[in-house]
This record gives sequence, structure tokens and C-alpha cells, in this order.
Amino acid sequence: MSTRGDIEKPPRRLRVRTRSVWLVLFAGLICSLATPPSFAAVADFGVEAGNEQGGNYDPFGVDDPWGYDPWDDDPWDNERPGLADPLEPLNRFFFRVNDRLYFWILDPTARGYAKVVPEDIRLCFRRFFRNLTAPARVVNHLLQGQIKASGSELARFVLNTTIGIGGLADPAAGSFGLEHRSADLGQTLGIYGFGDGFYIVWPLLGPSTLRDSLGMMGDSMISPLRHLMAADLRVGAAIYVGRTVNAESLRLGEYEEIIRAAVDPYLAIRNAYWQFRRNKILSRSRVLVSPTVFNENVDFEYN
Amino acid sequence: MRNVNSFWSIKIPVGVTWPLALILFFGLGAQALPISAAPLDPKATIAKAVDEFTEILSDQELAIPANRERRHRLLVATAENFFDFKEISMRVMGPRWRELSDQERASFTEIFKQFLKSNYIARMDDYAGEQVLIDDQEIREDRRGNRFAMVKTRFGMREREIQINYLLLQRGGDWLVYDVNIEGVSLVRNFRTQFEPHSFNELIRRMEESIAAGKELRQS
Repeated sequence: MSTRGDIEKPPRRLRVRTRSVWLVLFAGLICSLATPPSFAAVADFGVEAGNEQGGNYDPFGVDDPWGYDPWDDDPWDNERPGLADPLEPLNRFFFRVNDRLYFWILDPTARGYAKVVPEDIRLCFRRFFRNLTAPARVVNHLLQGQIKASGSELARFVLNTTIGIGGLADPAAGSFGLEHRSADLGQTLGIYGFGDGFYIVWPLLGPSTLRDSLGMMGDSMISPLRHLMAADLRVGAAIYVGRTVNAESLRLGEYEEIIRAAVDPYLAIRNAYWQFRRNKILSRSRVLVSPTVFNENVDFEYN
Repeated sequence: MRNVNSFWSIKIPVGVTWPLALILFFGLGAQALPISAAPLDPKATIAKAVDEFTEILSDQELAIPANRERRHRLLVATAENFFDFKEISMRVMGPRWRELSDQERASFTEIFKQFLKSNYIARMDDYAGEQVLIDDQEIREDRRGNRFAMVKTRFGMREREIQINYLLLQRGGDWLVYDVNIEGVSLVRNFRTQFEPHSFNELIRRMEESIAAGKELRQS
């Protein structure tokens, strides 16, 4: 009898289950029948459906309900370029100087160099020069509150300088999964709330802002390159030239394309620089949380 | 009692399979047909565009220099299916768009489209089988209920990955690209900044000049 009881029990539980299964399926059936297919497809996007205005979209239509600018209502980014340029005449002058220097000297040199040196070796050099600036990234990640990234960048520096033969190879990324992650002082200052200041075009160095120029100076303080330059200016300058030519040889034609696709090259570069830097700061700002040390409710994480 | 048991063991599958079959038939089955014709979601739209572009670009026969014109024509035709050039023109002109007559708007849209073609289509010839990874999409609505989407993609180059985000808007169900954002730099905003200080006629003149120069470059 006891075995019979055991047999009897599951059916009762199953009956309840089947009934609920039925109910769910029935509800699903009703829904799937009642929902027009396009509605169902839209509902998958995670947006409430029911908007049929997609076809009537016209911000500058008859009733012109939009703000001053079509970008003002953009749901991704309604910022207008806010980069002041009080030095515009001077900046335009140096922009032209740099432009000439590029077309007359840098580009032909880099092209010749690219013909002689195979790409794999040039990539090695790029890694080497990038490795030299690692200390600045270690510090800046730390200043940005990105302790993990700072540690990773430090480990990369140690591994690549030793096993990677002075940074020519990148075993840290290849074998240890520690990927390169950029960080500079201009970005750190931006995250701290420093504004751009204004636009500056430096001769030879190119586009920058007041904030990013200060950042560049700060970063160079802890760059091995700077110490080399201080010890022997010629060696330092040779390394700087080598880095510039090598980097250029890996992006031949990119500058020409930007200039050719521009209606006003100076403004194209200025705006691209501003957007690029702004994105670098904003993308980190969202990650940066207020220092956990000061939050009593959260245990400080040693990561 | 054995009967009861066997009764259940048969009844349950039947009880489940029938509604399941109905669901499959009416629910999924009935939807599957119109869905194949229904507009694609933003991510699928970008995936389709990438597929169509890479198909043209990896076609061995089209890669022959003699077929270059045909290849470019195909690329342009594909671009026209996925980009909303009127919206792009409007956003590039900004508030000034209001002051333009319909005819000026139409001619601006056409010339700007030619300008983009002459500058960007030839660049696609450099494509060497790089991987395009499509990550995720996000859809937002503005206060008017218009729907905008961002599809994040990564363009894998050697030892370097470029983040390219496509911004789309929904027009009557279809999603069309109105901006391309490369490493945080919006192309349409960039043009907007360049166009701002110049008069309408000056812009037309500069663009026509650039288109002519591009043609010369291609012929040489």
C-alpha cells in the first residue's frame, strides 16, 4: 500500500503542474495571437511599443517642434562643440606649418622607411616605444581610481621589459591576457573636472588643448624618454624622431584621407581632436566611482 | 492504480504537446512568415549592411582594376539602402536647414551625397578582409517618441581594434544610419562644425571642387 501511495502522489502534483503549464501556454497562445508580429518584434528591443511616429519623423517639419538644433534632441549626445579657440589665427598658422612639414618631410620619410623595414619589425618598434610610456599609464590609471588597470599596466611593463626584450614583444598580452589600456594625465585632469581650456596647435606636436598640454608635460616628467633626453639631447631627439617616423609608417595615408575628405581641414582636425578627447574622458568618467574608502557601507576592495 | 499511472504518463505529454503544437502553429508559425518580411532590428540591419559590403569587397572578379567602376557603383547602391542622406544633410546643416528652400535642400543633399561618395567609397578599396564584430544595440526614444538606436561594432585591424558605432533612426519601421561614430568621433558632427562658418554657396562650391578633384585623382 505504501508503494501505491508513492505512486499516487506524483500524479496529483503533476496535475497541478499540468494545469499551470496549460494556463501559461494558453496565455502565451492568446498573446501570440493577439499581438501583431511587428509589435512583437518591436517589444523585443526593450522599448515600449505603440509609437507609430517613426514614419512621420521630420524635425524641421511644418510645426517645427524641435529645439534650435537637430542635435539638441539627440538621445545619445546633445553636446555642441565647446572648445574655445581664441588663438585661432596663430593656430591656423601652425596648422599650416605642420601640414607642410607632414607632406614635405614626414610622409616621404615614413614611406621610404616603410619600404625598407618590414611591417613586423615596425610593429616591434611601436611596442617598444609604447612600453617606454608605461610608467605614465601606471600612475594615471591609479589617479583615475582604476587600481586594477594600474596593476595590469605595471605588470605589463615588468613582463614586457624583461621577457619581452625591452618591450619589443608583448608577451603580457599574448600569454597573460593583460591588454594595453591607454591613460594620460590630460584625461585624468578631465575626469577630475578640468575643462579643455582652449585649443592649441603646437609646432611639430600638433593639436592639443591647454589641459592636455599640461597633461603632456606632467606625463613626460616620468617618461624614461625625458631622462634620456636630459642625459644626452641627441640620443633623446633621435629616439623621438624614430618614434614619430615609425608610428607614421604604420598609418600611411590616414592624414591625407582626413584632409581630402574635409571642407575645412583646420576645423575638421580641431573638432575631431575635441570629440576624441571628450570621448576618452567621458568613457572613463562613467566608470569612475567616488572613492570607496569614504563609503562606510561598502567594504574596501583590494583589487 | 497502474491504470491511473499509465493514464497520467500518457496524458501529460498529450496535454503539453497539444498547446505546444498550437503555439508553434499559431504563435511562432503564424509570426514566422511576416517576420521574415518585417523590418530588421538595428543590429540585424547593420549585420546585413556589413555582409553586403564585405560580399562586394571580397568578390575576386570585382577586385580587378577594370571592374573598379562597377564595384564602386555596387558599393554606392548598397550605401543608399542603409544610409539616410536627407537626415545626414539636415544634421550637417543644422538650424540653417530651415532657411533653405526645398530646391536648395534637394541640391544640397545630392551634392553632399556625391561628396561623401567621392571621399569614402574609394577608401573601401583598402579593405583587406578585416573582421567586423557587431557587439550590441541600444534603443532610445526622444521626447517626441522617435526611436534612435546605437549599434556598437569593432573593426579589427592588425594589433589595433577600432570602435565604430552606428547611429540609426527608425523611419516607418526601417532603420537607417544617420551617423557613424569612429573612436568617439562623430563624422556628421565633424562636418557640421566644418560647415558652420561657411555660406551655403561657398559650401556647394567647395564640395563640387572636391568632387572634381576626386574624379581627377581616380582617372590618373
